[in-house]
Amino acid sequence: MSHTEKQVSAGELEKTRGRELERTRSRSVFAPNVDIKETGDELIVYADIPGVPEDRIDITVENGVLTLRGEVPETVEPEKYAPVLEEYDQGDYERAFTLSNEVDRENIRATLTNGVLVIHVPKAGPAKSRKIQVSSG
Amino acid sequence: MLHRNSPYSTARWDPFSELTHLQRAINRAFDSRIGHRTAEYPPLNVAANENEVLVTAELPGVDPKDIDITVQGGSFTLKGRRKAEERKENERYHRQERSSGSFARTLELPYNLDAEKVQASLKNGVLRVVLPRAEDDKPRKVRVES
Repeated sequence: MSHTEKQVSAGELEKTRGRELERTRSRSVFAPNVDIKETGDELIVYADIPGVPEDRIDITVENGVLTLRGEVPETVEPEKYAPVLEEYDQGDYERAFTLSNEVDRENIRATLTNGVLVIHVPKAGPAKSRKIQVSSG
Repeated sequence: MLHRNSPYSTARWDPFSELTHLQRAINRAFDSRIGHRTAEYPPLNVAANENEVLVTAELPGVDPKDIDITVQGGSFTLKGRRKAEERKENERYHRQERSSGSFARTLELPYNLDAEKVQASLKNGVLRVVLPRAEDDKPRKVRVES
């Protein structure tokens, strides 16, 4: 790995732990599967959140932590059907990542297509092109 | 399971009791993917009442055009394909947890289905298929005259 690549990898995201606050909704919460990729000027997060409607998504960036949450409304009417086979459990989604690059919070964009949330997190101006000179001596 | 407190879950005759067993056998036969995780994809939830069966599956990232549903007799087959995200030269992946590829599942239901009246919808990545029971396969009530 070259020196310049190492600088970029400082932008790697890591999942944060230790969120022990209780939620008001009593149901299962899953960490959605994600892909995270980095281009020259942004980070792109793809999260699988099937069942979450657009208006039940909550994305926040606070203190360098990107948090995404999604609530899934019940899809099977319990008064209409009796469960027969349950291979998956339904629940809400929540996952948080630390952002180690400076990000342009104002210009974060997100789209939802077929249950996949795509979050574009632009890098902030200085971090985009900043090179750290290593001087000898 | 935490949030499903069905009044039907105990002490009720269950025509689907064989389903889970059968399901595994069928999927083993159908599942020809190599090196894939052993669990069948996609996981299905099945619910039913007297008249119809409701099958739901979470299919994030699957285009409705790439889903193929067939019903024959009492068997329901779901096939589909999830495309991978495009990869470009100047990108670096930090995490890659989402998988792609084709999938197929078959359910054998304990009665015949009315293929003409099957309804399927895909909303926010969740597939919902309503499979009505064939009219001529419904049990008939016999009145006992006194």
